[in-house]
Amino acid sequence: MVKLLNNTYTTFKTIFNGMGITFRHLFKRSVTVQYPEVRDVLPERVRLKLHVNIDDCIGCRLCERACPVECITIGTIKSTDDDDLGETSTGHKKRLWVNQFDIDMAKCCYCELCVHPCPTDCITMVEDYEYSVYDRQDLLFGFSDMTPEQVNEAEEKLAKEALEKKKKKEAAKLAKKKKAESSENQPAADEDAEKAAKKAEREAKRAARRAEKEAEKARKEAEGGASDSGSTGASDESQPENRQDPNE
Amino acid sequence: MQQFLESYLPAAPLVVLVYAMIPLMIILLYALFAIWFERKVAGHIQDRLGPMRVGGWHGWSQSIADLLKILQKEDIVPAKADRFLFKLAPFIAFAASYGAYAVIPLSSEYIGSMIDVGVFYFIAITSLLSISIIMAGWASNNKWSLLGAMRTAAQTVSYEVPTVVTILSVIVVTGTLNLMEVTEMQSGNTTLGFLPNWIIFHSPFMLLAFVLFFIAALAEAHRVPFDLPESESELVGGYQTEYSGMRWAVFMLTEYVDLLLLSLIGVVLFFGGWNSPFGSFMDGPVWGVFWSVSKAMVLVFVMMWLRWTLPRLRVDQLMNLCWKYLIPICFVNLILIALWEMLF
Repeated sequence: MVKLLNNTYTTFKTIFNGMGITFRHLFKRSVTVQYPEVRDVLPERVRLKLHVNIDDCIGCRLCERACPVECITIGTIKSTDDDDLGETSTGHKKRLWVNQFDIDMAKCCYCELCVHPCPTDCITMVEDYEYSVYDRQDLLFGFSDMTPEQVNEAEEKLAKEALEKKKKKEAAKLAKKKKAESSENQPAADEDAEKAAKKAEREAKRAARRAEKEAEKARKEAEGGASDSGSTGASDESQPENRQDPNE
Repeated sequence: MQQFLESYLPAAPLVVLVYAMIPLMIILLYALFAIWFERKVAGHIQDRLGPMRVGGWHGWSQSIADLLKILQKEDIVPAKADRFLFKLAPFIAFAASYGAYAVIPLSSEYIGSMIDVGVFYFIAITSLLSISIIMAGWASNNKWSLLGAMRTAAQTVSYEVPTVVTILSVIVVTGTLNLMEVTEMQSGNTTLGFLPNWIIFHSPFMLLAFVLFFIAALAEAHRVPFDLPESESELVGGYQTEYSGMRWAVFMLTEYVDLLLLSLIGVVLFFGGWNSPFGSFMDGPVWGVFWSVSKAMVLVFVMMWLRWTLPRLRVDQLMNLCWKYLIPICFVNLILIALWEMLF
């Protein structure tokens, strides 16, 4: 009997307790975001979609190599000597045609590892997350702005230049051969004299270089410790150039 | 009311038809509203918004859109089902619920049938509901459906007892089974001078009787925490599992109609039915409909509120609650009310 009353009391107490909680929640502000009309403010460094500013791309392939899932595919064609592709907005000289820059967002794991190595900051994460598609192929984003005709043109030009260079080289070789053939007729003494002259020239050059080095050393010593900080600064400045190396 | 209709309508059968259809109009509108309202209550209790899209203001026409969708659905009958019973069951369920409205006085001028055994009729006809559910469960030829139906049978048989005993404790006070007379007895402002003359204020035991009635009514309407026949997480859909399209919608409608019906009978028995809570202020036949329906809506809201608060009972807990707690308390309460009635 006591147990029955006790249980009844507990039941009602807990039910009213629960109803109090749900009643409070009934008038609490709901957490729903009415999505298409209202959007949440995205965090500052959100990673949602890759974007490439192809005008700034120098075709260095650092991003392609950084990608852990190999979702970036880059194709490049060397530019010919007479072509000037201009500079990027960061002041890097463009030396390669970028005829293919495909990012497969279906493979992308949003790690952002490709963004950081870029010397020209042309590959970035953008705040676009509404790119669902019906076909997986549509998630393959191509960023290159070259038309097939332009690609063909660049390739042909390169091939032509390579051919010309080869021809020139052969011509130069031929000329050298001819010269060598013609010099065979002259006496050996002449050759010796030539060698001696060359040696003297080399030694003179070496001496001059040594003198220059010594002068430099002396100047540095004179400037003292203050120049040290300056020299480290100079080495910092030289870094971007080092980063540019791979594309050369 | 009937005379009013006779003066406007040409034929007597038409009068009967219109007269019988009035509660139907109310409950259909109510069902559309209640389904939307339930979803809103559920949403806000869970810190969501609920339906917001259809029809502009807070998705008010969501139920209409759902209804239009359900109308287009295919009516599937399982291959090995008992076709006749399967098709019949939802309509018997609805008929049982709707039949009970005949004795509910919606206003001082409107009651379907002024029979002297009103309460008895009400108890009898609502029992048909469990028969229709067993029919649906058996005819579906599905384990889930049958289990759901079996649970319903057990539940209804058990909970009829406390319901009837609490109703009986009201009848002890009123001395009549006619629900119109029960309501008329509750007019005026006499309890302690300021409270309405409702039965719930009649004695402290009446409050307990109402709580017991409310719990039993929840179980009768198969609402959470007593929704074992259709417990989604255990029995898929219970007896509704094999139903689709309009037949399923009729079951759904029955559920909400039952909710209103039990709220209405609670209002009539305990809260003065169509009587205004302010004495003669805002009193009258039209206000009567307003008061009876809005009082019932408050109870419906409490049922929804409970639904999103309490977890479901287990089968053995359900039986335990009924036979070990509700029924003994009901009988003690009945005796106490009878004593109170003898002494005062």
